[in-house]
Amino acid sequence: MSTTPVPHPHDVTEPPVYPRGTVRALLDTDHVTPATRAALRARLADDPGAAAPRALDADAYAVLRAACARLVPQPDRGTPDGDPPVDVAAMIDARLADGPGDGWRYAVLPADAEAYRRGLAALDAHARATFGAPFAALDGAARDAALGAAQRGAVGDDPLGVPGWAGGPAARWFEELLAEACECYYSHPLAQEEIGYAGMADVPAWRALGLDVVDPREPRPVEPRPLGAAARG
Amino acid sequence: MADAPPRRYADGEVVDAVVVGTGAGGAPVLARLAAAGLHVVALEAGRRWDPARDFATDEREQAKLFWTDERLSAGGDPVPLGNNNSGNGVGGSTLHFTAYTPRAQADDFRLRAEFGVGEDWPLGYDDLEPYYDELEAFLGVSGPPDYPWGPPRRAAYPLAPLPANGAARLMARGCDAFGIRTAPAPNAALSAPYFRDGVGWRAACTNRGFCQAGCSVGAKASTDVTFVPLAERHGAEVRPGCFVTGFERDGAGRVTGVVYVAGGPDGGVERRQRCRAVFLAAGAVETPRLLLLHGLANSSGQVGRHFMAHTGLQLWARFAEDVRPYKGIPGALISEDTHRPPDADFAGGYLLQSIGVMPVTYASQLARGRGLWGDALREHMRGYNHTAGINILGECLPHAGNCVELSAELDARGLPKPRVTFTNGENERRLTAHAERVMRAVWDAAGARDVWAFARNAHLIGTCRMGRDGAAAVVDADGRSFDVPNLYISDNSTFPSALAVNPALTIMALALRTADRFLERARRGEG
Ligand SMILES: Cc1cc2nc3c(=O)[nH]c(=O)nc-3n(C[C@H](O)[C@H](O)[C@H](O)COP(=O)(O)OP(=O)(O)OC[C@H]3O[C@@H](n4cnc5c(N)ncnc54)[C@H](O)[C@@H]3O)c2cc1C
Ligand code: SF4
Repeated sequence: MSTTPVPHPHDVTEPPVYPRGTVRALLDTDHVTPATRAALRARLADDPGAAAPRALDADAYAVLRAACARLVPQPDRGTPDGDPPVDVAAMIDARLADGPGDGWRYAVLPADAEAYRRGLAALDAHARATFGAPFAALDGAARDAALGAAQRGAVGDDPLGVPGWAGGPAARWFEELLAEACECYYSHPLAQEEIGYAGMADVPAWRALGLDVVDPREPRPVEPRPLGAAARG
Repeated sequence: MADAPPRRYADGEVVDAVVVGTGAGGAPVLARLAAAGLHVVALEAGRRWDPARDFATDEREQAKLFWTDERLSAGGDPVPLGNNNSGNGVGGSTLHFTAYTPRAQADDFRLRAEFGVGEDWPLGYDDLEPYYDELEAFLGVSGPPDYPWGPPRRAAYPLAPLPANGAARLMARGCDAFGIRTAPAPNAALSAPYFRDGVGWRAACTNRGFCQAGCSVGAKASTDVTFVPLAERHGAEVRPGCFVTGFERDGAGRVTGVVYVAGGPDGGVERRQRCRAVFLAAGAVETPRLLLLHGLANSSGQVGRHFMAHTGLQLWARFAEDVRPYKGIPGALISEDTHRPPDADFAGGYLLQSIGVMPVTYASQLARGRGLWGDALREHMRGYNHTAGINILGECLPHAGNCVELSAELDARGLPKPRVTFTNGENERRLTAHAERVMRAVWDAAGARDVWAFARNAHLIGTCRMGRDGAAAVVDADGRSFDVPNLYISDNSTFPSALAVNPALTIMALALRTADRFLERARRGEG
């Protein structure tokens, strides 16, 4: 099998932009094993946003949704001719409801679902105290400021009455939230199309292992972007 | 050889040995004892997978390979557990190990003699060399014809190196410019189809870069496709879904049986397998946890102590070239030029390896290590295909305060959850700082931009150290408990020091040696 060189100007600084639909097209081919296809198709078909939250109550879930919208903003999705957004908050709630966990937690944090409840409550309380409105009602910039405070651990103790949340635990919880949001988002076929990932199409063996070469089934950037070109497409 | 179907032993039957766990430490013992004609049973908490049918090339789906019973991580540098550290299933952590298999060097075993810190081993390179030779041939290690570091080798690697992927080429470019020697890394993954008696043919690596989430083609030498089938061909029984919770003992304190729960935490049935000897190979968290639960084999007070985790700093960078970090064996290139750096202000040393990475793992590290979110996160991730990494594997000294203990919290089985406490010491910090300087220079020379460091510790080591003196160690050089003469430990917990190499090959070498010493003792009629 032949390999294909990928042309690129050597001073590329803008990240590449890949065409839509690449992973979805690969799922229909023999380049993907049945086990892989089943896992990715299920994730694509899942529309968890349609269901009510199961692990969190409505208030906490509203905060989580508003937080995820800033952690992984998707202004390019959900437009009439675009793809639907990846529902990160729903994936997190489903995981909290169904488990299993990931096998460990920071000892300074309570069990996962409880940590989410406290962390989201503390974030909301911080928003109310600082901006005079619930977190979910804030504009993007104010939500970012509140999330930044949570990342630094600079939120108050949570209003659920458990002392000792501010500082270490609050910052660790934010780290957990952000890591889980990233893991959910980048496990989604739509996000994988966005970054030009084709690792799921691993049949037969990859041949193009060097630099600047791809196998024919790998996505190539829409157009190479020379230095100074507009940031995004 | 005899093609006997695997045996099934009744719980009431007294078998020669029970092996607890089927990972790097357990499976080789099982195979060795079975080949000698012993009646052996392995009890494995996890399930048995059929890689071709069950393993998706999808990180989220493959989370099922990891140990998901909750553990607490504490200390100044809490070690991520779960997918960073231990597996669950027939094959244990080898199901998701990256297959990197360098040998330890002779001086790794004598850190205290050389530097006055750390701990010396009660055995040396010469004791393990024949086992390294045997293992590389059995597993089918792919590696360079002339490995540049360590003692002269008696045999070349059995297979040619795996192809260099993008990260390997970039690291080689940087190291060449900076004056560091590199070589294709030894990997226990097949660069060509490979046949072994008792195992059959295994297929070559398809460069799918997915070793850390399970090899669906059987090219990687995880124990489920190597030592486990070999053991079964020799009549061993492997019982998946069996979680060991305790032991039966006689008046003299010898183990007479192993208590386990078959069929999962809820609705499981408690059973016991009678036996003449037990080999604990449950890994460096669950092995000490079991012993601590029962106050067993701990007259030294060392069970759970001196937990170590290699320093594993990763330096990620962005390149103009298209790298595609999901392709090729992840750790394709090695350098051990930093094994004993001349300008070191620390004891021990480290090795360098190039690393590929899967997108979910990379994004997760980006979140934890760099705290990126929002537009900056998505922007950065769109450069994923231009990303390459270098990783170190560095010595970690045994500190008394780093440990595995029983916490006050109970798990679904009603057993205390383990708490792992870890803080890097001054030596680890200096070593890591040295490595970061070297790696930055290498990446600069290779033309990297947007370089960022992800500090981490990896591998669960120590907690039941071996030694010469029963007052200061849990087991002797043969892996035999000083307190309970028919209890052996064969896993990462027996390491008295961390070694500046990845542990799996050495765990397996020790396992084979432990089994051979046990067999010699049995032949002499000693119990
Ligand atoms: C992502 C990753 C990559 C790695 N890459 C490399 C590498 O490239 N090279 C290298 O050398 N090392 C690597 N390692 C480390 C290596 O996998 C481990 O050091 C090694 O497998 C440990 O062997 P072990 O026998 O101590 O434990 P394990 O292999 O973890 O085996 C322990 C077994 O015991 C079972 N068990 C535990 N408790 C019980 C119980 N109560 N009852 C019954 N069964 C039980 C577990 O299910 C498991 O199967 C990697 C590890 C990880 C996580
Ligand atoms: S890179 Fe090779 S050894 Fe690793 S999972 Fe893929 S096929 Fe298996």
